[in-house]
Amino acid sequence: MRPLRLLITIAIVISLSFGFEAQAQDSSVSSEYLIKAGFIYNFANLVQWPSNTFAQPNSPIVIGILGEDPFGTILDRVLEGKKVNGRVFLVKRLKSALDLKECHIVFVSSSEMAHLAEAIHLVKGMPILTIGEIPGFAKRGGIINLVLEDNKVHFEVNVEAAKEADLNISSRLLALARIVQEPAADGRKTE
Amino acid sequence: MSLQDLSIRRKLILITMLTSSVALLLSSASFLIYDLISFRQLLTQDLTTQAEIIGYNSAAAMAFKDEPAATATLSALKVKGDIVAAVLYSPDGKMFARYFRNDETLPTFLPARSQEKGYRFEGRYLEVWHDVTLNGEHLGTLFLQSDMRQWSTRAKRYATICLVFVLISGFLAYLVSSKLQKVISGPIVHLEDTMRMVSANKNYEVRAVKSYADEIGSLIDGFNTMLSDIQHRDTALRGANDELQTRTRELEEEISQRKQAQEELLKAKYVAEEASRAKSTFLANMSHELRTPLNAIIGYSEMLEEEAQDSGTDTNVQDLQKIKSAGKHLLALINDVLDLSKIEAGKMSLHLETFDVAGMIEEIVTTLQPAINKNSNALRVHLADQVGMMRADITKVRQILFNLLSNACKFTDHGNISVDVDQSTEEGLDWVRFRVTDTGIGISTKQQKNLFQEFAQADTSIARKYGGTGLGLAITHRFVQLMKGRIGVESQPGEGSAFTVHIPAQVTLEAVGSLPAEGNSDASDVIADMQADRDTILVIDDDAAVRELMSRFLMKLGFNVLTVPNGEEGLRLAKQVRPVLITLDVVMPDCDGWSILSKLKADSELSKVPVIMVTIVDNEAKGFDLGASNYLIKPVDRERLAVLIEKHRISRPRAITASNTAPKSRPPRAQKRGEVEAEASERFSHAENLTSRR
Amino acid sequence: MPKILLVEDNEMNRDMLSRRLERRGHSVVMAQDGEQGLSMASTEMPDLILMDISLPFMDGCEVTRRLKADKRTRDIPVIALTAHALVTDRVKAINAGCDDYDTKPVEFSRLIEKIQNCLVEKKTL
Repeated sequence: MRPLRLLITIAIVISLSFGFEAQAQDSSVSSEYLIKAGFIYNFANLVQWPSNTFAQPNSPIVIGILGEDPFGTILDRVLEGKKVNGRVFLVKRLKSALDLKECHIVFVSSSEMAHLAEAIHLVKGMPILTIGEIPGFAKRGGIINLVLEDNKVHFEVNVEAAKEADLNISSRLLALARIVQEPAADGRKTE
Repeated sequence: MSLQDLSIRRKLILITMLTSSVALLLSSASFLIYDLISFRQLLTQDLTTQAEIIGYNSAAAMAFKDEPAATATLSALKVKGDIVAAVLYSPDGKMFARYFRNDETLPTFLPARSQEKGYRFEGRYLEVWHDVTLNGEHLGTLFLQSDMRQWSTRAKRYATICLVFVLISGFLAYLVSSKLQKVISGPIVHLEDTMRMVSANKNYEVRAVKSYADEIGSLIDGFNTMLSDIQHRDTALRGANDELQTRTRELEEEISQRKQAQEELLKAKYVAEEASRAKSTFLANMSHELRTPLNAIIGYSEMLEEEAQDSGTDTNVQDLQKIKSAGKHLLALINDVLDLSKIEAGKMSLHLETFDVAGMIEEIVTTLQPAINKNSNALRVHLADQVGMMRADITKVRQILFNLLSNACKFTDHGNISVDVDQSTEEGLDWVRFRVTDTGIGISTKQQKNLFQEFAQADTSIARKYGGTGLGLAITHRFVQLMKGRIGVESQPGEGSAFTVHIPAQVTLEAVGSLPAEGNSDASDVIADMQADRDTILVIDDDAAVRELMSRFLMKLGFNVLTVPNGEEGLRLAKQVRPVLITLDVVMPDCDGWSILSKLKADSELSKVPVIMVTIVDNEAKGFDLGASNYLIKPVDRERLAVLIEKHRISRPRAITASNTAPKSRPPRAQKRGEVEAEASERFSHAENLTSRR
Repeated sequence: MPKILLVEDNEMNRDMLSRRLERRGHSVVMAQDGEQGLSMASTEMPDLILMDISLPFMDGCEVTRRLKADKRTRDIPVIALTAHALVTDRVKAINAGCDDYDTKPVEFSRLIEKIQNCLVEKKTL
């Protein structure tokens, strides 16, 4: 009995410590997305949609996730109960590109790297804030691209794209962003 | 110099300046305070706005946790010089971003975590807490701290401006008040100057000039009125003073004149007194020196006369009688001269006692009978019924009548002589009148003028014919005067004379004021004879013989003895001398011994003095009832009396006799008095002798 | 026959008085001064003493005082003769112990009376 019990105890301890390790690994990933979820919320705060975008004053801000959802439940949790100008958030996992038109914010998952141009083209001219995490997303016509550098999340803004989408991005947001242009321009960065 | 003692001018200036300065300071201060408060509000508002801006600007950075961006936003405060520190706190209270002026200040004083929203003043710092929100979401807190540099700079500048302003306005106030105060101080200073001038020069003609019709104006009016009042009084006073001085001078002159006169008078008086004293001494000595040989002459002649009578040699008897008679006459003359000198010197005193007038007259008549018979005259004596007792100096009354009757006898031959005595009341006083008339040679009107003057016998030839010194009437006159009586004469030469003497029935010692040297009371003279180391016994008895005997006996027992003939005087003397013992008679002419005894016992001062009744009345019980100590019936057993007195002396150890008795300082007067008394009686007896022998 | 001691310094007065007293039936012994008077008073034991007050050396008062101090002579009556006839002299004499006094010049009949009184007067006043 005794040796068995000791064995079990050791096993539990080892399994526990492995479990922590796994969890820590997992939390590092989820903390990135926690930040990114926060960023999305903040963007919603600092971006103005055209007045006719919403049917009613309390119509929710619809966030669509295009492609593979990297947030899991994080985004839902972050946005739960939060309001911007009296509007709640509604997170949708988009099945088809057609659903994009019902969204106000579209998060383009890195899984959609191949279909990026198509996706951008679909929302072009519509008041939809496009947010991506694909390198060169903004340069290729996306409005905001989240970049992970030095373990910190930064973002790039394509002001032209925002204008085309008839979205008014707050100067305060722009002050924090890296401004990028589409290749037609020189691609210079501004603070 | 204290503030109160400043001159009015300075006070006014000071008051004006103080008032204006205080007003100015107050207004500037309130303005300053108001300005600083509002400025502070402005600053607060400013800082709050600043916080709002910064908060707004840093909200995104906070939202994206973009610390560099937040720090950069805060760094924009560099342009605001008064902001010392700015800190952004995340909602969990941790410091998120910060800014410090010049970077040198360490954040030790900073709060570790965020505070309530709002502003507050910490010391000289203003702190603002501001919530950083983004679309209503709390993202953190902004803390701003300002050192209010502008505020203190502004305060300093304001204070400086105020100070300068106050100084300038003070100076202006001084200039203005210096000019204006003259309106008030001018008249007062003028009044003061005038007053000083008046008091310094005593010139009351100066007047103060009135400038305005205000209170000071009326003060000046009042002052001027007062001045004129004083001026009037001063003038009046000066006049009165001048007059007073003049009068004083006059008075002084008068006084000095009087003083001079007085001194001269005193000198004269002294000289006169000296002369008088010398005369008296001379007379006294002379009388003594003359009397010693006279004594021998009279004595031997008397002796020889007796021997001659025994041997029957009648011729010798007559011659010897002449010698003796001449000797006695000479003695009488000497005594007269001595009497007169005593009277002149004011040394004759009265010894009052109460006596029976009839008895005295009888005595004199008996004595003078030989003289009456000598010139074959007839004497008639008539006493009015109402004449009884009188109180006077019996020796002198006797001598007065004796002199008058002697003269009547002397100047009447084969004639009638009458003595009339009656009593009358004049001017509320009882008078006894003695009238001696004769049918003798009479006195001319011219002679009557000098009748009562010394050494002025009616005619020098009379002296040769009738003998006499011419002093008799002068002495009589003086004696009558001494007793406040009067003497008068009616006469027709060749038909006779009538002498009338009025003497008060009750002669009082107070009445003897005309003789200054003997103004003292009789009692004090009696006291003067006493010895200080002896107790005094007072004898009250109307019988002179008893008084004399008691006095002699008691003196032998070692007492001072005072004798009085009546009760009232006895009471008075008893109070005066406090005797150790009193002997009292019951039957006395003027009063009742019982009542005197009662009065003695009723007197608080005298009630303890033992009283021995010495009387013929056998009423011992009454005596003891009234408080007498002992009762003796006359004739008194001397030994019994001595034993009784000794008993009282033992029961009452040596009493102090009247303390005012100072024999050593008094003897001269006592001596004179005694001498006179003795001389008078002696002379009387001699005269008696003289006449009886004839 | 009563014996009288006369103490008198004046020879004339002594002679006159003594002779006159003898004429009245008195036996008279005489002393010229106080001391003699004192000694004679005790030797002669007179019935009465006539004492002149103004005696040389020892005056009459002193003599009387001594007489009255002496048991033997104490009861002899003394009559003082005072030349000045002063009350003070009289008082002095009485104080010294004299029983009576008379003034000089002597009124003889009066003196005789006083002498008689003194000789009789023993018990009653």
